[in-house]
Amino acid sequence: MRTKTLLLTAALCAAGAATSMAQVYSVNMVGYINQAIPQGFSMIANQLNNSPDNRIITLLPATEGTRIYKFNPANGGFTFMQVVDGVWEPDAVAQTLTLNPGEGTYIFAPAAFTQTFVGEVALTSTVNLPAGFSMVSSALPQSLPLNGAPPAGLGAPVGEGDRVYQFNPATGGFIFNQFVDGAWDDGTPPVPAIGESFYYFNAGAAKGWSRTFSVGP
Amino acid sequence: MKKLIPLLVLVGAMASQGQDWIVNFNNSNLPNTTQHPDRLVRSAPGGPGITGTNYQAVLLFAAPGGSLNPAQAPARFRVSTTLSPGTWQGGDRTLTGIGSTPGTQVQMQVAVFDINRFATYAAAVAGGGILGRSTLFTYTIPTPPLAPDAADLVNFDGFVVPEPSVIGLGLVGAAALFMLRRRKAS
Repeated sequence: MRTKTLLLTAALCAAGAATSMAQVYSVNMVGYINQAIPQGFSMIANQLNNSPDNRIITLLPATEGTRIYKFNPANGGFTFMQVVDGVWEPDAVAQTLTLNPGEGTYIFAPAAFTQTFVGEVALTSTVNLPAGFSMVSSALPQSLPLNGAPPAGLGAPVGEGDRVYQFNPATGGFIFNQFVDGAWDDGTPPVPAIGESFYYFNAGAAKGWSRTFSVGP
Repeated sequence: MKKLIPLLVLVGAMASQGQDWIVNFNNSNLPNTTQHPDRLVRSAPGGPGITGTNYQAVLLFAAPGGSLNPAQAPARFRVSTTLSPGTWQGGDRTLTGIGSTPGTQVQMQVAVFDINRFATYAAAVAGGGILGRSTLFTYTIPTPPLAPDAADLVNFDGFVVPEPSVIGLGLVGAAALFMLRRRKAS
Protein backbone atom coordinates (compact mmCIF):
# COMPACT_ATOMS: atom_id res chain seq x y z
CA MET A 1 0.00 0.00 0.00
CA ARG A 2 1.60 3.22 -1.07
CA THR A 3 1.20 5.83 1.53
CA LYS A 4 2.34 9.36 1.17
CA THR A 5 2.60 11.37 4.28
CA LEU A 6 3.10 15.06 4.73
CA LEU A 7 3.21 16.55 8.16
CA LEU A 8 3.06 20.27 8.53
CA THR A 9 3.91 22.09 11.70
CA ALA A 10 1.67 24.96 12.73
CA ALA A 11 2.40 27.57 15.38
CA LEU A 12 -0.37 28.03 17.87
CA CYS A 13 1.29 29.87 20.71
CA ALA A 14 2.52 33.03 19.07
CA ALA A 15 -0.13 35.30 20.52
CA GLY A 16 1.18 37.46 23.28
CA ALA A 17 4.75 36.46 22.68
CA ALA A 18 5.75 39.54 20.73
CA THR A 19 7.67 40.99 23.61
CA SER A 20 9.52 37.81 24.28
CA MET A 21 12.93 37.28 22.76
CA ALA A 22 12.70 33.55 23.39
CA GLN A 23 12.21 31.25 20.44
CA VAL A 24 8.63 30.17 19.80
CA TYR A 25 7.83 26.62 18.83
CA SER A 26 4.59 25.12 17.70
CA VAL A 27 2.92 22.94 20.25
CA ASN A 28 1.20 20.66 17.82
CA MET A 29 1.58 18.98 14.47
CA VAL A 30 -1.11 18.89 11.84
CA GLY A 31 -1.07 17.34 8.44
CA TYR A 32 -2.63 14.79 6.20
CA ILE A 33 -2.10 11.23 5.05
CA ASN A 34 -3.03 10.08 1.55
CA GLN A 35 -3.76 6.41 1.92
CA ALA A 36 -4.37 4.09 -1.00
CA ILE A 37 -7.18 1.72 -0.08
CA PRO A 38 -7.44 -1.30 -2.36
CA GLN A 39 -10.60 -2.84 -3.69
CA GLY A 40 -11.90 -5.48 -1.29
CA PHE A 41 -10.93 -5.95 2.31
CA SER A 42 -8.07 -4.25 4.08
CA MET A 43 -7.18 -3.27 7.65
CA ILE A 44 -6.86 0.46 8.02
CA ALA A 45 -6.06 3.00 10.69
CA ASN A 46 -6.61 6.72 11.16
CA GLN A 47 -3.49 8.15 12.75
CA LEU A 48 -4.55 11.79 12.96
CA ASN A 49 -7.10 13.42 15.24
CA ASN A 50 -9.66 14.79 12.84
CA SER A 51 -11.81 17.87 13.41
CA PRO A 52 -14.57 17.89 14.51
CA ASP A 53 -14.37 14.19 15.43
CA ASN A 54 -13.07 10.77 14.49
CA ARG A 55 -16.41 9.17 13.69
CA ILE A 56 -16.11 6.97 10.64
CA ILE A 57 -18.94 8.82 8.93
CA THR A 58 -16.87 11.99 9.32
CA LEU A 59 -13.66 10.40 8.08
CA LEU A 60 -14.79 8.28 5.14
CA PRO A 61 -16.91 9.04 2.09
CA ALA A 62 -20.32 7.38 1.90
CA THR A 63 -19.47 5.36 -1.18
CA GLU A 64 -22.18 2.86 -2.06
CA GLY A 65 -21.22 -0.64 -0.97
CA THR A 66 -18.52 0.40 1.50
CA ARG A 67 -18.53 -1.77 4.63
CA ILE A 68 -16.86 -1.43 7.99
CA TYR A 69 -16.11 -4.29 10.39
CA LYS A 70 -14.62 -2.92 13.57
CA PHE A 71 -13.37 -5.54 16.00
CA ASN A 72 -14.73 -5.35 19.53
CA PRO A 73 -12.38 -7.01 22.01
CA ALA A 74 -15.10 -6.98 24.66
CA ASN A 75 -17.18 -9.57 22.84
CA GLY A 76 -14.70 -10.89 20.31
CA GLY A 77 -16.92 -9.94 17.38
CA PHE A 78 -17.41 -7.04 15.01
CA THR A 79 -19.43 -3.88 14.96
CA PHE A 80 -20.72 -3.57 11.42
CA MET A 81 -21.91 -0.68 9.30
CA GLN A 82 -22.31 -0.19 5.57
CA VAL A 83 -23.39 2.31 2.93
CA VAL A 84 -26.67 1.49 1.22
CA ASP A 85 -28.56 4.01 -0.88
CA GLY A 86 -25.87 6.57 -0.09
CA VAL A 87 -26.36 6.42 3.66
CA TRP A 88 -24.41 4.71 6.44
CA GLU A 89 -26.49 2.11 8.27
CA PRO A 90 -27.49 1.12 10.89
CA ASP A 91 -27.82 4.76 11.86
CA ALA A 92 -27.37 4.14 15.58
CA VAL A 93 -23.98 2.55 14.91
CA ALA A 94 -22.98 5.10 12.29
CA GLN A 95 -23.61 8.01 14.63
CA THR A 96 -21.18 6.69 17.23
CA LEU A 97 -18.58 4.40 15.69
CA THR A 98 -15.14 6.01 15.76
CA LEU A 99 -11.73 5.30 14.34
CA ASN A 100 -9.36 7.03 16.72
CA PRO A 101 -5.57 7.02 16.43
CA GLY A 102 -4.41 3.66 17.79
CA GLU A 103 -7.56 1.84 16.70
CA GLY A 104 -8.13 -0.23 13.60
CA THR A 105 -10.87 -1.64 11.45
CA TYR A 106 -11.53 -3.77 8.44
CA ILE A 107 -12.90 -1.87 5.50
CA PHE A 108 -14.46 -3.34 2.39
CA ALA A 109 -14.08 -0.96 -0.54
CA PRO A 110 -16.13 -1.75 -3.67
CA ALA A 111 -13.42 0.01 -5.69
CA ALA A 112 -9.91 1.19 -4.91
CA PHE A 113 -9.68 4.78 -3.78
CA THR A 114 -7.36 7.20 -2.02
CA GLN A 115 -8.47 8.21 1.43
CA THR A 116 -7.11 11.46 2.84
CA PHE A 117 -6.95 11.58 6.61
CA VAL A 118 -6.51 15.09 7.95
CA GLY A 119 -5.83 16.22 11.48
CA GLU A 120 -3.49 16.60 14.36
CA VAL A 121 -0.86 14.16 15.54
CA ALA A 122 -1.60 12.79 19.02
CA LEU A 123 1.50 13.88 20.90
CA THR A 124 0.64 11.72 23.87
CA SER A 125 -1.30 8.53 23.43
CA THR A 126 -2.04 5.19 25.01
CA VAL A 127 -3.33 2.25 23.03
CA ASN A 128 -5.02 -0.35 25.20
CA LEU A 129 -3.87 -3.92 24.64
CA PRO A 130 -6.34 -6.11 26.53
CA ALA A 131 -5.57 -9.75 27.18
CA GLY A 132 -6.29 -11.72 24.03
CA PHE A 133 -7.06 -10.23 20.66
CA SER A 134 -7.49 -6.59 19.74
CA MET A 135 -7.25 -4.69 16.46
CA VAL A 136 -4.87 -1.79 16.87
CA SER A 137 -2.45 0.52 15.12
CA SER A 138 0.32 2.88 15.98
CA ALA A 139 -1.27 6.06 17.31
CA LEU A 140 1.43 8.00 15.47
CA PRO A 141 1.80 7.99 11.68
CA GLN A 142 5.11 6.16 11.65
CA SER A 143 6.24 2.95 9.97
CA LEU A 144 8.89 1.48 12.27
CA PRO A 145 9.71 -1.82 13.98
CA LEU A 146 6.90 -2.56 16.40
CA ASN A 147 8.76 -2.98 19.63
CA GLY A 148 11.93 -0.97 19.18
CA ALA A 149 12.33 1.96 21.52
CA PRO A 150 11.36 5.32 19.98
CA PRO A 151 12.54 7.09 17.94
CA ALA A 152 13.89 4.00 16.13
CA GLY A 153 10.81 1.90 16.88
CA LEU A 154 7.13 2.20 17.74
CA GLY A 155 7.70 1.27 21.37
CA ALA A 156 5.00 -1.39 21.71
CA PRO A 157 5.28 -3.26 25.03
CA VAL A 158 5.64 -6.67 23.41
CA GLY A 159 5.76 -9.56 25.86
CA GLU A 160 6.50 -13.26 25.74
CA GLY A 161 3.93 -15.13 23.67
CA ASP A 162 2.45 -12.02 22.06
CA ARG A 163 1.45 -12.38 18.43
CA VAL A 164 0.85 -10.05 15.50
CA TYR A 165 -1.39 -10.79 12.51
CA GLN A 166 -1.11 -8.36 9.61
CA PHE A 167 -3.83 -8.71 6.99
CA ASN A 168 -2.69 -9.20 3.42
CA PRO A 169 -5.33 -7.71 1.10
CA ALA A 170 -3.79 -9.45 -1.92
CA THR A 171 -4.23 -12.96 -0.54
CA GLY A 172 -6.92 -12.47 2.09
CA GLY A 173 -4.65 -14.15 4.61
CA PHE A 174 -2.53 -13.00 7.50
CA ILE A 175 1.18 -12.40 7.90
CA PHE A 176 1.95 -13.89 11.27
CA ASN A 177 4.75 -13.24 13.68
CA GLN A 178 5.13 -14.14 17.36
CA PHE A 179 7.45 -13.16 20.17
CA VAL A 180 8.89 -16.29 21.77
CA ASP A 181 11.91 -16.63 24.03
CA GLY A 182 12.46 -12.92 23.82
CA ALA A 183 12.67 -12.72 20.04
CA TRP A 184 10.44 -12.59 16.99
CA ASP A 185 10.05 -15.93 15.28
CA ASP A 186 10.62 -14.32 11.92
CA GLY A 187 13.91 -12.83 13.05
CA THR A 188 12.72 -9.27 12.61
CA PRO A 189 9.86 -7.41 14.25
CA PRO A 190 6.69 -6.54 12.35
CA VAL A 191 6.82 -3.14 10.65
CA PRO A 192 3.23 -1.94 10.12
CA ALA A 193 2.79 0.54 7.31
CA ILE A 194 1.43 4.02 7.91
CA GLY A 195 -2.33 3.74 7.94
CA GLU A 196 -2.28 0.01 8.63
CA SER A 197 -3.92 -1.70 11.57
CA PHE A 198 -3.36 -5.27 12.68
CA TYR A 199 -4.51 -7.89 15.15
CA TYR A 200 -2.47 -7.95 18.32
CA PHE A 201 -2.71 -10.98 20.60
CA ASN A 202 -1.61 -10.14 24.11
CA ALA A 203 -0.61 -13.34 25.86
CA GLY A 204 -0.38 -11.65 29.26
CA ALA A 205 -2.41 -9.25 31.32
CA ALA A 206 -3.90 -6.07 29.87
CA LYS A 207 -1.33 -3.39 29.21
CA GLY A 208 -1.00 -0.02 27.56
CA TRP A 209 1.09 1.05 24.59
CA SER A 210 2.04 4.61 25.47
CA ARG A 211 3.81 7.13 23.32
CA THR A 212 4.94 10.67 23.87
CA PHE A 213 6.07 12.71 20.90
CA SER A 214 7.83 16.01 21.44
CA VAL A 215 7.69 19.03 19.19
CA GLY A 216 10.60 21.45 19.23
CA PRO A 217 13.89 21.04 21.08
CA MET B 1 10.50 -15.36 6.26
CA LYS B 2 6.97 -14.38 7.04
CA LYS B 3 4.42 -17.11 7.42
CA LEU B 4 1.20 -16.68 5.60
CA ILE B 5 -1.66 -18.01 7.62
CA PRO B 6 -4.82 -18.71 5.64
CA LEU B 7 -8.06 -17.36 6.93
CA LEU B 8 -10.02 -19.36 9.42
CA VAL B 9 -7.08 -21.54 10.39
CA LEU B 10 -7.43 -22.76 13.91
CA VAL B 11 -4.90 -21.09 16.13
CA GLY B 12 -6.20 -22.42 19.39
CA ALA B 13 -7.22 -19.14 20.89
CA MET B 14 -10.75 -18.70 22.13
CA ALA B 15 -12.97 -15.72 21.73
CA SER B 16 -14.20 -14.27 24.96
CA GLN B 17 -16.20 -17.23 26.13
CA GLY B 18 -19.21 -16.87 28.35
CA GLN B 19 -20.70 -14.14 26.19
CA ASP B 20 -23.15 -14.90 23.48
CA TRP B 21 -21.87 -14.53 19.96
CA ILE B 22 -23.03 -11.68 17.74
CA VAL B 23 -23.60 -12.11 14.03
CA ASN B 24 -24.07 -9.59 11.28
CA PHE B 25 -27.69 -9.99 10.17
CA ASN B 26 -27.55 -8.60 6.65
CA ASN B 27 -27.70 -10.00 3.15
CA SER B 28 -26.59 -6.92 1.20
CA ASN B 29 -22.99 -7.64 2.19
CA LEU B 30 -22.91 -11.23 0.93
CA PRO B 31 -21.16 -11.84 -2.38
CA ASN B 32 -22.64 -14.33 -4.81
CA THR B 33 -20.51 -17.44 -5.12
CA THR B 34 -20.69 -20.69 -7.04
CA GLN B 35 -22.06 -22.37 -3.95
CA HIS B 36 -24.40 -19.50 -3.09
CA PRO B 37 -25.35 -17.89 -6.42
CA ASP B 38 -28.20 -15.72 -5.13
CA ARG B 39 -28.47 -13.91 -1.82
CA LEU B 40 -31.57 -11.82 -2.46
CA VAL B 41 -35.15 -12.22 -1.32
CA ARG B 42 -37.19 -12.09 -4.50
CA SER B 43 -40.86 -11.81 -5.37
CA ALA B 44 -40.58 -14.75 -7.77
CA PRO B 45 -37.79 -17.09 -8.86
CA GLY B 46 -35.42 -14.91 -10.87
CA GLY B 47 -37.72 -11.94 -10.31
CA PRO B 48 -36.97 -8.60 -8.71
CA GLY B 49 -35.88 -8.29 -5.11
CA ILE B 50 -38.71 -7.38 -2.77
CA THR B 51 -38.98 -3.89 -1.37
CA GLY B 52 -41.25 -2.25 1.18
CA THR B 53 -40.62 -1.39 4.78
CA ASN B 54 -43.67 -3.40 5.79
CA TYR B 55 -41.74 -6.56 5.03
CA GLN B 56 -39.75 -7.72 8.03
CA ALA B 57 -36.94 -10.27 8.09
CA VAL B 58 -36.40 -12.31 11.23
CA LEU B 59 -33.28 -14.29 12.03
CA LEU B 60 -34.08 -17.65 13.57
CA PHE B 61 -31.33 -19.69 15.20
CA ALA B 62 -30.91 -22.91 17.11
CA ALA B 63 -28.14 -24.74 18.85
CA PRO B 64 -27.47 -28.24 17.46
CA GLY B 65 -30.51 -30.36 18.22
CA GLY B 66 -32.49 -27.39 19.49
CA SER B 67 -35.48 -25.62 18.03
CA LEU B 68 -35.38 -22.36 16.12
CA ASN B 69 -35.85 -19.15 18.09
CA PRO B 70 -36.11 -15.60 16.78
CA ALA B 71 -33.19 -13.24 17.45
CA GLN B 72 -34.07 -9.87 18.92
CA ALA B 73 -35.76 -7.42 16.60
CA PRO B 74 -36.82 -8.06 13.02
CA ALA B 75 -35.20 -6.00 10.26
CA ARG B 76 -37.21 -4.12 7.68
CA PHE B 77 -36.74 -4.35 3.95
CA ARG B 78 -35.94 -1.19 2.03
CA VAL B 79 -37.94 1.55 0.38
CA SER B 80 -39.09 1.04 -3.20
CA THR B 81 -36.46 3.46 -4.56
CA THR B 82 -33.56 1.52 -3.07
CA LEU B 83 -30.47 0.62 -5.05
CA SER B 84 -30.42 -2.69 -3.19
CA PRO B 85 -33.79 -4.40 -3.64
CA GLY B 86 -34.14 -7.79 -2.01
CA THR B 87 -32.09 -6.82 1.02
CA TRP B 88 -33.09 -5.90 4.52
CA GLN B 89 -31.67 -3.22 6.80
CA GLY B 90 -30.19 -5.38 9.51
CA GLY B 91 -27.40 -5.16 12.01
CA ASP B 92 -25.93 -7.01 14.96
CA ARG B 93 -27.98 -9.89 16.39
CA THR B 94 -26.97 -11.72 19.55
CA LEU B 95 -27.27 -15.49 19.54
CA THR B 96 -28.64 -15.62 23.06
CA GLY B 97 -27.87 -18.85 24.86
CA ILE B 98 -25.42 -20.09 22.26
CA GLY B 99 -22.22 -18.86 23.89
CA SER B 100 -19.14 -18.04 21.87
CA THR B 101 -17.06 -21.17 21.76
CA PRO B 102 -15.26 -21.36 18.40
CA GLY B 103 -16.44 -24.21 16.26
CA THR B 104 -20.00 -24.20 17.62
CA GLN B 105 -22.40 -24.83 14.77
CA VAL B 106 -25.64 -22.90 14.78
CA GLN B 107 -28.63 -23.74 12.60
CA MET B 108 -30.24 -20.66 11.10
CA GLN B 109 -33.13 -19.59 8.94
CA VAL B 110 -34.53 -16.25 7.82
CA ALA B 111 -38.29 -15.74 7.78
CA VAL B 112 -40.29 -12.85 6.36
CA PHE B 113 -43.64 -11.45 7.46
CA ASP B 114 -45.71 -8.33 6.80
CA ILE B 115 -45.84 -6.01 9.80
CA ASN B 116 -48.94 -4.32 8.40
CA ARG B 117 -50.79 -7.59 8.95
CA PHE B 118 -49.03 -8.91 12.05
CA ALA B 119 -47.36 -6.77 14.67
CA THR B 120 -44.80 -9.38 15.67
CA TYR B 121 -43.13 -12.49 14.36
CA ALA B 122 -44.97 -14.58 16.97
CA ALA B 123 -48.31 -13.18 15.82
CA ALA B 124 -47.38 -13.90 12.21
CA VAL B 125 -46.54 -17.50 13.07
CA ALA B 126 -49.78 -17.92 15.02
CA GLY B 127 -51.81 -16.36 12.24
CA GLY B 128 -50.17 -18.20 9.36
CA GLY B 129 -48.58 -14.98 8.19
CA ILE B 130 -45.06 -16.12 7.40
CA LEU B 131 -44.64 -15.18 3.75
CA GLY B 132 -41.44 -17.07 3.08
CA ARG B 133 -38.51 -18.82 4.69
CA SER B 134 -34.97 -19.45 3.60
CA THR B 135 -33.60 -22.94 3.59
CA LEU B 136 -31.89 -23.91 6.82
CA PHE B 137 -28.24 -22.97 6.84
CA THR B 138 -25.33 -23.33 9.20
CA TYR B 139 -23.22 -20.68 10.84
CA THR B 140 -20.03 -21.69 12.65
CA ILE B 141 -18.66 -19.51 15.42
CA PRO B 142 -15.18 -18.64 14.15
CA THR B 143 -11.78 -18.88 15.72
CA PRO B 144 -9.69 -15.71 16.15
CA PRO B 145 -8.15 -13.86 14.49
CA LEU B 146 -11.38 -13.14 12.76
CA ALA B 147 -11.54 -12.94 9.02
CA PRO B 148 -13.53 -9.94 7.77
CA ASP B 149 -16.60 -12.04 7.02
CA ALA B 150 -16.39 -14.06 10.23
CA ALA B 151 -19.67 -12.70 11.59
CA ASP B 152 -21.50 -12.72 8.23
CA LEU B 153 -24.18 -15.26 7.36
CA VAL B 154 -22.00 -16.67 4.60
CA ASN B 155 -24.17 -19.76 4.00
CA PHE B 156 -27.43 -17.87 3.57
CA ASP B 157 -29.24 -18.35 0.26
CA GLY B 158 -31.88 -16.08 -1.15
CA PHE B 159 -35.50 -17.20 -1.33
CA VAL B 160 -38.86 -16.15 -2.64
CA VAL B 161 -41.52 -14.09 -0.90
CA PRO B 162 -44.48 -13.73 -3.27
CA GLU B 163 -45.88 -10.22 -3.42
CA PRO B 164 -49.52 -9.78 -2.37
CA SER B 165 -50.61 -9.40 -5.99
CA VAL B 166 -48.99 -12.71 -6.81
CA ILE B 167 -50.62 -14.33 -3.79
CA GLY B 168 -53.93 -12.79 -4.81
CA LEU B 169 -53.64 -14.11 -8.33
CA GLY B 170 -52.81 -17.52 -6.94
CA LEU B 171 -55.89 -17.48 -4.75
CA VAL B 172 -58.08 -16.42 -7.67
CA GLY B 173 -56.61 -19.21 -9.76
CA ALA B 174 -57.16 -21.78 -7.04
CA ALA B 175 -60.74 -20.60 -6.56
CA ALA B 176 -61.36 -20.81 -10.30
CA LEU B 177 -59.97 -24.33 -10.41
CA PHE B 178 -62.15 -25.31 -7.47
CA MET B 179 -65.26 -23.91 -9.13
CA LEU B 180 -64.39 -25.62 -12.40
CA ARG B 181 -64.03 -28.98 -10.69
CA ARG B 182 -67.30 -28.55 -8.81
CA ARG B 183 -69.07 -27.66 -12.05
CA LYS B 184 -67.63 -30.72 -13.77
CA ALA B 185 -68.59 -32.92 -10.86
CA SER B 186 -72.17 -31.70 -10.95
